[in-house]
Amino acid sequence: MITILGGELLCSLGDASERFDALRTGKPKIGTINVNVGGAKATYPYYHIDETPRKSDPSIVDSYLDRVVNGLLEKLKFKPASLTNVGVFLGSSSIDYSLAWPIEEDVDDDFVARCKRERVGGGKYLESLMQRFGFTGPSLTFNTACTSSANALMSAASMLAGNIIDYALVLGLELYSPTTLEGFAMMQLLSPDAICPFDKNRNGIVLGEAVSAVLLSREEIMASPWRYLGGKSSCETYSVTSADPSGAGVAQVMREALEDSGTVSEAIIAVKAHGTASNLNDLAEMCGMEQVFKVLPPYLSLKPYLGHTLGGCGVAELLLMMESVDAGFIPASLNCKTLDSKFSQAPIGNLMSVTSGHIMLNYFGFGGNNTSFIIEKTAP
Amino acid sequence: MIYIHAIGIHNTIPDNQLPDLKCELKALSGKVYRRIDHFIQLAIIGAHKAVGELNLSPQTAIYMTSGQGDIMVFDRVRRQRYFQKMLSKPVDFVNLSSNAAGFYVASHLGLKGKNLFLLHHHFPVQVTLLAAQNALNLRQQKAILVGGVDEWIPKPELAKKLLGVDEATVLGEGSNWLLLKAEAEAALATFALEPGTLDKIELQRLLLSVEAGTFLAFGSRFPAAEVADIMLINKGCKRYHFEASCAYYETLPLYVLNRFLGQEQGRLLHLDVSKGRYMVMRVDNNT
Repeated sequence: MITILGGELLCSLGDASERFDALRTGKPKIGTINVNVGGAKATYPYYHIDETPRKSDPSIVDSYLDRVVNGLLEKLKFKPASLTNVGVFLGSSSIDYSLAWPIEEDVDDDFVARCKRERVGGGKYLESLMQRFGFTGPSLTFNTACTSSANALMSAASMLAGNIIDYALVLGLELYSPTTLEGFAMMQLLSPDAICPFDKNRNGIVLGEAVSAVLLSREEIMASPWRYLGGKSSCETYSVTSADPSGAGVAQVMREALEDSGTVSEAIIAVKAHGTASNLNDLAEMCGMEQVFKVLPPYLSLKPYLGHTLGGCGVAELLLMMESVDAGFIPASLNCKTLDSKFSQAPIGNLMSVTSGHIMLNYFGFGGNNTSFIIEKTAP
Repeated sequence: MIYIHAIGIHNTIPDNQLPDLKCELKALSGKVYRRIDHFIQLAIIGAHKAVGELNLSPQTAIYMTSGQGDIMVFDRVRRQRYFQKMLSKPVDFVNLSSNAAGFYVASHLGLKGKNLFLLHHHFPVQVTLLAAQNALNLRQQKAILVGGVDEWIPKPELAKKLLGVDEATVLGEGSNWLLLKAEAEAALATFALEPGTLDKIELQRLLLSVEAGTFLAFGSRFPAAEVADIMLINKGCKRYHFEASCAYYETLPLYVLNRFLGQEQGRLLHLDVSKGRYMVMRVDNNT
């Protein structure tokens, strides 16, 4: 049995007590960001971790990763050296940060002469993190768009199940990237005002930043009330940018996740939906859920709290769910004022009292990636 | 034990010019693709050569790896933004996420299984194969199509610096794929990977147990003196030479395995090194 020992999260909601307040009261902090779209300046809502300038400098990314790993190890009273046989897994849709710096610097003819002969690439962040913390086990970096860190977590659980490692440190990373922000703006996928999952008038996503870390193990190595029970990941080739709106692909991955985890659908007490508030994806997700569950469980989207943190949302939203249930509740799903008439049931409207049970977490992304997994908090 | 059921090689040494893959892709697949770039073309061609004529289960997973991913589209988008002050095309934005290549490979082959794009700083091929081997051993997957794709970059001088290789290195490009299953029936070869990295002493110990007649292949980063030492100590082994048939790219180890299986009969140990740590893969098509 795979255990989830704890996690650490940096996101717009602030520290643990601020996150608790925001989740309990339903009042997250939201900022704004200026975006240049083809020469026209526009302002969009945005969920920043902090106000630190985000230059394309790999050391900025390293500093956030160090903060979450150090915070997690302190919380669990682990020293890096005592964490033996640990595998490290990172999910991000923006693993190309390490390439951004040298390519952006390439503005003059002397650049090639100045450029260091030093390998850069998508695996660089984990490589330097492993060196700083002295980890020697296997490591893997995942880019499967918005399912990146969810897939990283599932592969980590697989390596634990195969006894290849005894601990798995799983990281989710998504920081401000002008290319990403402008790309979504150009595709007219950004909401100009607010993220309203499952609402009739939903008008797009709001992006956010999150850097997070979660530590997994096996029951016989270290027990925990939180368990990862199983999950599935699949690729539907309906469209490179959206799930099949009939919900067929989404339903299939949820069914397979239930089967893999040995969970009957009636045992699910809540679904953490992907809930991006884009028109087609909410439709696909709702249609999918209605095909899988005879009676739809309470469901919510966490994106109105921390924004859509893209490849980082797998671990970040897992940790927000765990923190909420540890505090005795599941938060309300915000901003659904008028339910889309195509949907049969509204998301959770008020705090729901929960201390244990099985929860399904769903993530869907560009590239046809669908991912669903089940966690359980055992009753005390 | 896991088994290799199909292999596909696409390996070229560009002559200072980006190979045009459009015609080759059309001839191979009979299809015309829109909204894809060189990296994605490369991925589809290699995957098609491996399994394009097979009747794969739609649940077959894709585990794809690369040294740098779709670096040309990344470079193009950045240049458009910073220097030309113009918006990139939506298609370029979508393809920026290198896993878009996996989507198009899945679409081409009619696959719906797990689709991962994986990276590792030193051993992208070996660690991807480790993840695949583990998933097959646990019966979490029945079949996995593993691919390594690296494109040639038109600015070789800069590319060599960003790859951390010396100026004399000739750069190539490749898309090499193999189909792995847990079942032995109709397999081409067995595959095994030492699950962790080894230090020098552990490597020497492992080499002592290698049967005479085994071929040894060495990764591009292996120092020549160390290769000579290993071959001197392991006199019963034969060196597998592949170097003249390819140029440098980071997923070359998949090419080496596939080339061996296509041309030789026997056991091959592929040894690779980075920063004093070794990874060892073994294929055997004797039985």
